[in-house]
Amino acid sequence: MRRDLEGKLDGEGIKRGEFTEAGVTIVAPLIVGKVAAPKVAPLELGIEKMSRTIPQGMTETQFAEFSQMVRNSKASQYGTDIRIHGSRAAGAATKNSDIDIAIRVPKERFEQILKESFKNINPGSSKERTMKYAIKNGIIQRGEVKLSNLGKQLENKFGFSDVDISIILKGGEFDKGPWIPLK
Amino acid sequence: MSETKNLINEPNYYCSLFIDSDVSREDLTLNLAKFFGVSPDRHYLSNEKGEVGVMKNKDYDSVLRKDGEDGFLYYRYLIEVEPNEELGEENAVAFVSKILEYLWSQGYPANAACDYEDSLPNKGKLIPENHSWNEYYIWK
Repeated sequence: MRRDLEGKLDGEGIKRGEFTEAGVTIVAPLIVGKVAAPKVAPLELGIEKMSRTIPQGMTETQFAEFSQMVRNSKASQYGTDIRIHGSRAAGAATKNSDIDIAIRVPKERFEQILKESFKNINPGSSKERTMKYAIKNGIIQRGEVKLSNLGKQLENKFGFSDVDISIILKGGEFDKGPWIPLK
Repeated sequence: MSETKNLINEPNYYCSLFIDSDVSREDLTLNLAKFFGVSPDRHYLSNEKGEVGVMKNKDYDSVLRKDGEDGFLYYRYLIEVEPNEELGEENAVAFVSKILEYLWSQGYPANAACDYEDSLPNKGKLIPENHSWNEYYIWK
């Protein structure tokens, strides 16, 4: 999918470019006036970050299928506010980048999931240390909530090197965008 | 969706093995594949007893990984071990124990975090004391 982009930049020139799934590509400058506009990619990438509605490297159809698969899985039992974040949401991914899925939950729900996932804890154990890390940072990793298999299925179906799935506490350390909500 | 539904009623045999090594993920996976006697499916291995995934630890930190008893949280790799539920706890513990001992025997410092870690060899902690490279990893 691509579409043309034209716009005035710095009042000095016009650039023609393309929006593609991978980001913005400047095709050729159309100089109006004496000086061509300097580097414009950062500005345009900024706009791209804010307006991205599908993760970098995916088509709309793939993302719809991806979303459906996640929503039909155990992941949705933890919470329904499920989003893509990280480099593929920011438009900064490389070919081998992970895709990061966040299941955002409020404090009460986070504590409940934590209690269920870490219910047999011995004081001083490594498991207790992982729990304390989860509490401190507001994040529970996929293995602790039995979502590793979903991650593997998504990796195999969509060809990602890794699919990271986390329960994220709303307002917590890792509750940071940019975000792309699942379809 | 029920916000109060208890999601994890089934036995929880899942175990995280944190690996402190700078070998490549491929090499670590291939080494484990020898133990499993199977070809890896990318970074996953499975047999009749369970499945493991060799994952990059997103929290990896080259400095913090040497930070005392919490250092393992920052090791480079996290091996997700999911024993089959049908195994029962005793066999699940045996399955994880063998993986852990194999990793130690190959020279990989490995630390287990799971419900039954006290039942694992050396309580799942890093390495047995009789390993020659123990001194480097003695916790402060």
